[in-house]
Amino acid sequence: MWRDALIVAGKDLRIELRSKVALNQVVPFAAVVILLFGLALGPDRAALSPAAAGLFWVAVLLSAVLATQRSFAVEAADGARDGLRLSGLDPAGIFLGKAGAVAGELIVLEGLLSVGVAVLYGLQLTGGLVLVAACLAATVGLAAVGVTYGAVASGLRIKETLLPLLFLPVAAPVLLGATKAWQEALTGRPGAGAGWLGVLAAFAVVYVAVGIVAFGPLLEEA
Amino acid sequence: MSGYVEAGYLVVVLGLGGYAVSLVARQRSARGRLEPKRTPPTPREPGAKR
Amino acid sequence: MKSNRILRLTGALGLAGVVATFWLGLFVTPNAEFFGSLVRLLYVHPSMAWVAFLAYGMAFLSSLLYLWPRTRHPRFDHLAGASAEVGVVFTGLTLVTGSIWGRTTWGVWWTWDPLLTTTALLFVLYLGYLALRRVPGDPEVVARRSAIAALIAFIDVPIVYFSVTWWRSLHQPPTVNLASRHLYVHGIMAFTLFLSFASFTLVYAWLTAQRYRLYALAEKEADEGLDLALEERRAEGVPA
Repeated sequence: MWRDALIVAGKDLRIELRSKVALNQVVPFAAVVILLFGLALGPDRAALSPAAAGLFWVAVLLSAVLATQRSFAVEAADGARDGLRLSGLDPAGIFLGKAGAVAGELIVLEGLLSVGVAVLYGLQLTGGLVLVAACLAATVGLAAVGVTYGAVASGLRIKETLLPLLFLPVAAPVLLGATKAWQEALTGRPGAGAGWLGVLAAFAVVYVAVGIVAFGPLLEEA
Repeated sequence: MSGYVEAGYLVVVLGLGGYAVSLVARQRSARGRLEPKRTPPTPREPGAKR
Repeated sequence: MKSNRILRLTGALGLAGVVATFWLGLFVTPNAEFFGSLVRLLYVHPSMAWVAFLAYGMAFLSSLLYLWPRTRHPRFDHLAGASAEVGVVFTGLTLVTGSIWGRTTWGVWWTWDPLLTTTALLFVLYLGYLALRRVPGDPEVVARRSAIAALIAFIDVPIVYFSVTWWRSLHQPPTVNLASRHLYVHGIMAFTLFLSFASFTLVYAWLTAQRYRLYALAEKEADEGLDLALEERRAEGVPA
């Protein structure tokens, strides 16, 4: 299972490195979102910096939708999906691989985005360890839900509109947990933020498990 | 009496009643579409133009 | 048709129960000391929420039964869809009645109360599920895909509830809810409350059964539509 996961993740990441769609479209999209938030809330830094954590995570959530769609758009062309199904790879491994690739892309995105948020919203990124841990746990959860729902919605003609509707409400606890963890850490209370890491970790574990179980039946469908 | 209580009851009645009526109506129309199809399609008149 | 009679009885009992609840709730039960006449909303709001959760639980269970290979049968898919749709209707009513409650007790239409927030998220969660169900496709594929979506959505409910509750309780005292106001429910009020739960549950059963029949009819229509098309094609082949 793990070997298969590595193969699939390597394939997806290689595709992203070569096509640079994630780099050329998803990252600029996230940048646009945080710029728009800045415009919507006004130039006042006193208003922006308390909201920064929440805005950052909303931007991550929206980008996660794009990254997931991209992850399955890759499989849609040239019957790649059938190839994947017939490859004899363990479905759980395929799930873990795709989720891992999406998570990897999101982690990179979050790194870039946090710099953007720090500069644009005048944020001091303190309490580093909790911030990083929250990023990791939240990203695993987002990638797991995203890839599972991506498989649910892939092959549907209206997936562009359906996937956000399915994905975003489920991801609400991640937004909540990650935002609170960041807020607590940024205001110098990493201890309180650590509690939210538990929520994020639980979410990640649950949905990785669901994805592993559900991916087999989802891939079967034609 | 504020009217709020009555509004609450009214919403429940209208919501559930409307939903129930729509279900029954949809069932009826589905049955209506099914019924004529039960009988095998009448053979075309000989020489009829398609 | 025995099942037909049971269904009709359920509907009649539910309707009678609701009428009785409304009569008791609006005219017979006394005002509460603290809430005044607003206490009457108690007979419609919590029962809506209860039915909504019951409906989602039912949808979850039947989705599980559908996914389990040994019990896989289209009827569980239909039951899940029917139950979830009725659940969405009741969730909508929960939100509206809860909002009216909020307006009258706290002066605002909406507070970020944990229960209200969870309910609102549930509402959009299951709207997504219903939207997914409406996407046409091979019935078996649609059923499997919907069952997994129902699974994902239902597992989210406790996580959402827990995180929203914690989110609210960390920064300000928990918002006012019924239990904290020492509302003494007794006698005729308790009976009316019980009656509202029982009769709306019956109404839920009746609505779900009706919706289920609609699924069965639609399936039949699809089958017969295919047969009809086949017959027509064959008739075309016969030389006139």
